[in-house]
Amino acid sequence: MKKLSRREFVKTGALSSAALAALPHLAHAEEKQKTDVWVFTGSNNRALMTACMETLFNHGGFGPNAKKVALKVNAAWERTPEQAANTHPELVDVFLEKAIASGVKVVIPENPCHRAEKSFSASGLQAVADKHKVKMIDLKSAKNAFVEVKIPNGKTLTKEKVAREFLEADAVVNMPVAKHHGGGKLTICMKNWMGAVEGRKLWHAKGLHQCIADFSTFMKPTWAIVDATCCMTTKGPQGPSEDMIYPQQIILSRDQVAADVVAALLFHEDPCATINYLAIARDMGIGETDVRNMNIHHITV
Amino acid sequence: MAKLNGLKFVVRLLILAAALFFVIGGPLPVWMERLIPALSPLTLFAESIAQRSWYAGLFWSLPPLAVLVLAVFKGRFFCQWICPLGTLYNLPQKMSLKKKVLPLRLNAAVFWTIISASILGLPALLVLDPLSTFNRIGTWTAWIPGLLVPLFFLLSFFQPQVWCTHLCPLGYGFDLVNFKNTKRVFRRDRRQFLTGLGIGGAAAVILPGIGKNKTTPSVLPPGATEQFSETCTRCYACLSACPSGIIQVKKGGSLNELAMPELCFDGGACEESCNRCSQVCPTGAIRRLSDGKKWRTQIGVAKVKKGKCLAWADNEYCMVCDEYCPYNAIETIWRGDIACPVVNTDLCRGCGACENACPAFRAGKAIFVHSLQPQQTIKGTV
Repeated sequence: MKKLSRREFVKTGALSSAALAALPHLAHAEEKQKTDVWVFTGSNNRALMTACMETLFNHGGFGPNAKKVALKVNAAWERTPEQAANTHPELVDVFLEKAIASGVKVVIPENPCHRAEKSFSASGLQAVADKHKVKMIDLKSAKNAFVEVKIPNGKTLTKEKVAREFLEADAVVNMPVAKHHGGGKLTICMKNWMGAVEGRKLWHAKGLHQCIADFSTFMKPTWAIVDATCCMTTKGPQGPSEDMIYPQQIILSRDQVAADVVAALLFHEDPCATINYLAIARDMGIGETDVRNMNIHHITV
Repeated sequence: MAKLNGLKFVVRLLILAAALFFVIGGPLPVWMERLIPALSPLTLFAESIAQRSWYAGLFWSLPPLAVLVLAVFKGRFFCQWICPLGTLYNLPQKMSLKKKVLPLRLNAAVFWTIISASILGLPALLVLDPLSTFNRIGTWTAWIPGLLVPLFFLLSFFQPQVWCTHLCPLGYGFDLVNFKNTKRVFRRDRRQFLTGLGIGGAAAVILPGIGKNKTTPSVLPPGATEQFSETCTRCYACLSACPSGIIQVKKGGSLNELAMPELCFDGGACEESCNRCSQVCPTGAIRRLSDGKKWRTQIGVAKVKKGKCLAWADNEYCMVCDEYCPYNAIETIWRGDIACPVVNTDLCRGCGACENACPAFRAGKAIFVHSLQPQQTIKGTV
């Protein structure tokens, strides 16, 4: 133990008091930067999504020069829209309509769990994509679809092969359905990226929750849009489940961690205590996990 | 005559091309995979006799019956105009050295072996049916097609169409049923008739016993009967029809399971909403299953190997088996915060989704499907 000299004592003391004096100011500055989260509630899916897109465009859209948007839906399972294992096609329909009208090109890459031919069509998403002449890319069969990237802030996951489309897009939108999950407890935005990488199988062995958090330090979407219209609370991520809830909500934020926390509140009282990857996100400072630091705009449609 | 030969040549080539197209499948409706092997009346009759049931519906009975009627009046018309394998072996005709490599004609013995063995319940040697053989070209990497077809193609350079004239049981059947020839042909081949009866009888008695219980039983396609290995003619229509590519040619195993199709979950799983293999089987070895029946069919049961499991052995958050199971047959046992999988054997269909997806790597996969024979049907609806 080194003894503290008087000079040092005075020095640290002065610094600490200065810091203490500045604190209220800092707190004030933080308040200004509260994370915006919009929660849209209403019975009509299309109206909900229309309102969501309006807000999205009122707050900067996809960025000033965005030409190409890569949309990460969940189209992993051969399940119907009612079974809520995939992002609801009505929401994706409105997203594509409004996004394309704004002048951007959209692609939908997905590394499905079931064969793409089955999951893309059963989910109703292929039909919606076809309607807007948008390409749904099956990352499983596409050649040369992945590029290896370094994840500088990753603790366990330090590199991963990521779908090229997401890396090359001007804006990335993460649009999952919120649902129960065996290993992850819940799958919403952060876990949805497992459908954008090649080596997801290894995540489970390396430590699922840490890998999910690590990858979210790398892949931060322009917008996170959570489909919480109809959600499985058991038997996820594939279902079919008898335990469905119908929050009829869409959650929109630029911070996918904040969106995850707000969506997770539909399932659990204390998301960070229940879902490890959210606790890790909090500790690593990947995004906002404290609702007190969020501006949650409740909008009824 | 020259004109007719020219016409015949063109017709045969067209049929050969069409047949190859069917065999390779591609974008065609799945039932077309069945068209070529199902055209053989020998397969239809031998299998029906062996299985004691007329397994083919009206749609699949009419084409082979038409071929049979054609033979009654026109003998080997089918061989000369239609048979795609015959056309293939006929291609080297002009260059053939016309030497006798196989002086002995054995087709009658092969034919009667098939018939007598079928009567005893096991259609031995039906694997030699030319249309099943032709269908195997779609799976040329397996050793039976990889060997048989090129061998007889090469032999045709020495002895023209040696297969068709000396070995083909279907061709012999056509000779026999041709009403103008029946008596003469039968009388000519009395010895082979007796030889065939002897070999067929012996084969039907001995074959099923050989090598039984020596290897782990294969997981079979949904709808496979208990006599699958015996009644399958190895036409591999199911292999071509499977969209997941999980039906593969068995390596090793006992003699009566030689090169039979089996399921291997390394590359995929048996999809919940798929019954394609059961639509294409021309022999009744795989019975047609409706979508609902397929959904309720248990072809195997998965088992967790706890010592290898990421959750059980390594305390990882995994449950990938549960995630991928389409039937919710994986149940959770909580050990503290860690969810660990166990299989609900009442719900497990043996589809292999868990085995395929299992990410355990330290000691290999931790969940495996064990074959269930006979296959079971669980209660419940889609």
